[in-house]
Amino acid sequence: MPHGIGRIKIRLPRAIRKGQVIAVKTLIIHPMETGFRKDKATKRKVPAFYIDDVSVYYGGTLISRAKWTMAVSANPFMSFYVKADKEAPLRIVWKDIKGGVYEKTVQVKPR
Amino acid sequence: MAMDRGNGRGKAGPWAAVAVIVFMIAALPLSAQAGNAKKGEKIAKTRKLGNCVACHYLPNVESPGDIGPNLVEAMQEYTMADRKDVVQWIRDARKFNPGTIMPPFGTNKILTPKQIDDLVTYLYTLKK
Amino acid sequence: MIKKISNLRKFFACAALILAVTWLHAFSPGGARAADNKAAATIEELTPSMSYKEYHKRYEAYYGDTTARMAEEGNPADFLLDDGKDLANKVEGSKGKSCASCHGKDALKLKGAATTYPRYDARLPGIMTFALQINTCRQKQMGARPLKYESYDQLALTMYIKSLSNGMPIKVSIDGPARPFFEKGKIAYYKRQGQLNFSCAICHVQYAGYKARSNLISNNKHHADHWPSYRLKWGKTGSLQRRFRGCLKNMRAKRPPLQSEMLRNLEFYLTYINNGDLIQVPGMRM
Repeated sequence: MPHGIGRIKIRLPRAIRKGQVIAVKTLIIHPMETGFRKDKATKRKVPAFYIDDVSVYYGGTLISRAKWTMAVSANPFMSFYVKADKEAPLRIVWKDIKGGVYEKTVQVKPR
Repeated sequence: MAMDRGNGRGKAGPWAAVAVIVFMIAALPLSAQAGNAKKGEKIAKTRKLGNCVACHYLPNVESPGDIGPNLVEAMQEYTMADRKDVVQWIRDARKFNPGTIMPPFGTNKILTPKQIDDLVTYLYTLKK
Repeated sequence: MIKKISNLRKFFACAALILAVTWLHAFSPGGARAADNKAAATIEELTPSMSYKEYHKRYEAYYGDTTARMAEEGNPADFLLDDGKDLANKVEGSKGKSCASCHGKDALKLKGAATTYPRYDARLPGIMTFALQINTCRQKQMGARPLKYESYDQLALTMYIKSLSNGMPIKVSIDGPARPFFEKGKIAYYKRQGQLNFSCAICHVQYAGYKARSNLISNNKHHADHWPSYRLKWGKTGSLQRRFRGCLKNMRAKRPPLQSEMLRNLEFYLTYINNGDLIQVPGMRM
């Protein structure tokens, strides 16, 4: 298993005004095996192992959900825009096809 | 349609055989050194074989390289009499250009003489 | 006929060089400089087919600024930086020390240390690369086991300590005893090798900016300032020497092991010709 699988980085702008549309940038370490790659040493196919579901919750409500496939690159980067109209936690959950759940919460604090 | 062809073949059988033999005799001096153009095309476009398209333009290839000259244009300048030179370019281009980037396909045994022959035959099909 | 003329030309060039060398010898304080000139003259340097500006224009038109933007927004190698910082403070080995014991908290005193590497080391004797220096330090000063090259910890520690020099220009020196190793590196860079009979220079100097199939061949400027770097093709972080080995494999040439003399000399040469570039670790490349 690769080192540090499921490690997450979420970046928000430093200062957020209330009602501002902010860019949230996320990065997760994951091998995202397609299931088509061959291991050169063993000459066998590496089984598929990728994230297929990403959900974003803002203050408890689901605001965005993405369905990913094996076509997404290793260590996927995702960014999206949110209107920061309340002080609330932003929770992002990644689920992979082997049942792994990786999540991280950051606090959005508009001034 | 298939049946028609079958019948036709049956009738023309002896004549076709004679025609084939005549053609073979006529083509003998050429076919003695001519390879298989279809195999040659595969060699030119396969990464593990010739991989000409890494550097040269060839028709019907997705994004060929642009390091070497366009081979369709280049081949217009060669006649059948220059076949030797075309073979030499592929076998070891350093004879014509000592500082060339082109790999010596024959000298370094990247391709067999037979494969180079097929390749040259394919290149001559690019002549208009 | 042509060969004859080129032979003649070579003869005259040699004669002129010998004259120049003897002239230099007569006027320079030591004979060392003349000897260096002679060694350097064995290699014919190639000239680029296009200016760096033209190359960059082509690069921008073909790839755009994708990787630069990706590196800024979220480089997966950033995680290695965090781990490297922890490793720098971690006590290991028989002497009960960490990097931080000698080099200050978070090894911050090593700021700027990476700019002069690779450099000549009389104890080897040969070229000391930054990765090799860290391992030597671990063995001699800490009494710890050396980290395996290209392993996660080794890359993380190297990357973290190198990142302390971010934004500072590379200033590698080839004076004195380092000179022969620089020449060896240059020979490695210009020597035709492998079944395909390529050299590093023929692609990255002469044909930089052209396309090999769908890859734009990169110019050797900015080739040494961002390692260890995250590479999209690998899907992970790797060192410059791993990249060298990848290139050698594509040339179907013999691949010397990591941190072997040839690869160290090559790294020395490549870093020297990129003197003045600002270190930017971790990088991100295709």
